[in-house]
Amino acid sequence: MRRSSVVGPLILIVIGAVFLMRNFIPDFRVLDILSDYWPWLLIGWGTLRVVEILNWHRNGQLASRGGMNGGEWALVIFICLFGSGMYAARNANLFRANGINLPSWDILGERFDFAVSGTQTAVGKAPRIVIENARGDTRIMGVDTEEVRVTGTKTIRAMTRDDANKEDKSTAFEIVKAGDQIIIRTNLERASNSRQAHADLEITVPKGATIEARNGKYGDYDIENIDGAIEVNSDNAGVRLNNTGADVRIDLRRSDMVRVVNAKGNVDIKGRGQNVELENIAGVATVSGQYSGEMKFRNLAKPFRFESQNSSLRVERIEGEVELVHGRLTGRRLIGPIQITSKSKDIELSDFTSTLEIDVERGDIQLRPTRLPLSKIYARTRSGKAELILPTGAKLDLKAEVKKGQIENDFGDPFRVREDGRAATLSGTIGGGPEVKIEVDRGDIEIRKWTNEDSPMPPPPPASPVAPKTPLEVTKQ
Amino acid sequence: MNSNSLLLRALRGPLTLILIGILFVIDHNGAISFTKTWPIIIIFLGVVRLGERALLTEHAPPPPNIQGGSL
Amino acid sequence: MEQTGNIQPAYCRICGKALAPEEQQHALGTVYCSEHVPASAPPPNAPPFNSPWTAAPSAPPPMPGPNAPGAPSPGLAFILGLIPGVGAIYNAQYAKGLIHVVIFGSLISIANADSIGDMQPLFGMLCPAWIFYMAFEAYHTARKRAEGLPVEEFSSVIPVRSDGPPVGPAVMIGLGIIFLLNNLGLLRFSQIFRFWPVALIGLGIYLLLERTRSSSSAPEATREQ
Repeated sequence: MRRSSVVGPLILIVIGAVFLMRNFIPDFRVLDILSDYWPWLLIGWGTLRVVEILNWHRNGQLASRGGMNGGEWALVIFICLFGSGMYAARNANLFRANGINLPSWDILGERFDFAVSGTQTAVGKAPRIVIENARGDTRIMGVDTEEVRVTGTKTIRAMTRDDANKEDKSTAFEIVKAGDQIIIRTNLERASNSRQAHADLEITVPKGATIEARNGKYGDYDIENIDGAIEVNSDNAGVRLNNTGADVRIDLRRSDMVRVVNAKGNVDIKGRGQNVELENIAGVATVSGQYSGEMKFRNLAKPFRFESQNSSLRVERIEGEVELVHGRLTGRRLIGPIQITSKSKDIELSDFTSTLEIDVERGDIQLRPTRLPLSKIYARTRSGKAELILPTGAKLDLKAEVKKGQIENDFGDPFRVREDGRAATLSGTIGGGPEVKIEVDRGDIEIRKWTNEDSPMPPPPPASPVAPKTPLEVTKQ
Repeated sequence: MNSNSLLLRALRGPLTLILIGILFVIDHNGAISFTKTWPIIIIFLGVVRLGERALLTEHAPPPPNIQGGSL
Repeated sequence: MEQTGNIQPAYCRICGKALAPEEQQHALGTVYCSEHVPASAPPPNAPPFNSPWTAAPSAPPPMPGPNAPGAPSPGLAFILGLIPGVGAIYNAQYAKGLIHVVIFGSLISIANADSIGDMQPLFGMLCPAWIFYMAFEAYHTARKRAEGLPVEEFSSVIPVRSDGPPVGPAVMIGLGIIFLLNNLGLLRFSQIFRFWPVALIGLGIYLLLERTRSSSSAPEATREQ
């Protein structure tokens, strides 16, 4: 006789009962417990089935494939997905998979909005402002004023308006003066279910203020026209800064975009995220961490340093731009010394001056120095193609070596290729210039001249404008 | 087919279920993320199938002779 | 005239019960007990109704012959199988359907991810390949069910061999170990991938062994005449 298992239906009943309780006893933190301990449900289920099967076996009633039937497996998969989802939603900063983002528990209740506002007067021209807004977008603008003014909306998800009102009272917004600090707090952590509420704020502060945004769990920061130092620390935030006067420090566990433009001070970004954009930075810039999207750095006046698990980049000055996208680093108009190391990246640099050092394990290298005179270059890739495109008039002492591959010399004299089994070397000197060394373990090397097929050479920097002559002479041209 | 092999076959599912549960418990206690440990499940299933085969050939009858009776 | 030496004890293919000669039911080239013999009659003690939660066998019920009304249509199964999960659901393999959907979704997600970079075409190709696999698998499973063969929950078109080298389990264990070592950072895919010709060699050796084994048994059979 075949027997069917009782455990599957039992599990279903237990899950149903648990959720039923949650719906009727609002304070029953069943979901929190469930999010953490749901795997034990699977373990218990499996153990019960094992016992059941051993029992059947002993009684000789073992059905043919009496293990777990399809319906039970469907339930298991469902529990795994649901359980991981709950766990992720509850501990958004601990879940390490990519792309899963569950900011709100959108299943129960409806949303109720509450206005938020507060003002702190007579704070002076350069107060220290601390913002603690756990969830929600925060916008800060520096204006010509001596007070701090906050407006915004708090959204609370609850079953009834009464519940929402209760939550609103327990998460009262406050703006207090503590010593030399002005603290702005939304107190959302006090909500019974911390993910039920979020507050979007708009804050105007004196231009000279320093800003510290901390304990953020989820929500963007938009900060503009601030002369003081800015520090943003969050578990998950998009950060946009425009026109800052002093140092900027950003530390994020997750982000979709970090953008800093027109900064007069130093910029330090660390953590993990997707896209990073720095433009017009007058101070020293550092970016470190793991970023999975596009990184663009334009017009950085002082030394720039980028560190990640895979690569590191050091540039004295970026006049043009550097882009890191999809395993590819492109740089244009850079002032050295430049140092690049990477486990795996394709590198393409054009128009760079001063010394350059590249060491890549896997990747193609394309170097197109356009400004003369050249400086010392050392480029090495273990596996990939190296291309050196030289402008006319270049003076250098070139030595290119490939361990397993070929060298193509499209430049011509005075470079000579010498093949030696699987290896090859090319060497030659023009005008006794600086040492340029290219090493490839497995791959090819190509040396060629700059031709018209390449993008045109950048025009020389424009001469300072001359006052126009008399109209007569101008028209003669 | 013998009953030991069948028993292991029937136990395959629940044992895998327990393994999945353990991997998630390890993930939630912050040790190693499930997204890294999941191959253990595949290894486990492979080992169990090997076990089934091993138990199968232990007591299985020799394959039937092709030839009929000799004259 | 019976030769006792040639009567082998038989075991039901489904439940493994040892069967005396009079108990053996022969069908489809192998032996069943009277309870599990398929196709011509539904097995006795069949459950009154089949829902995934109470079904006694984990296998979907064997169906009447191909042309009987209510038989699963392999053609329809193929078409439905093009939609992720639906093919398996049509064959009453619910968990497999769910897994198919998850795999399909994961393939598309990975194909769109930034982090794989150069491997995007590979995952892009895997998506249509997977769609056709699902369709064909649904087709074959429906056909098997139409012929009355019992079908496992996680059946697949990849044949399972019970003699010779254990390819299936070996591959599973091997792949599992490779993935695990990569995930733990001990031995990355890139380092292993360099040895891909070894897989080619391994396949060649395996096929060689196959052929020599089957060719060594064939001459014996002819010799017996």
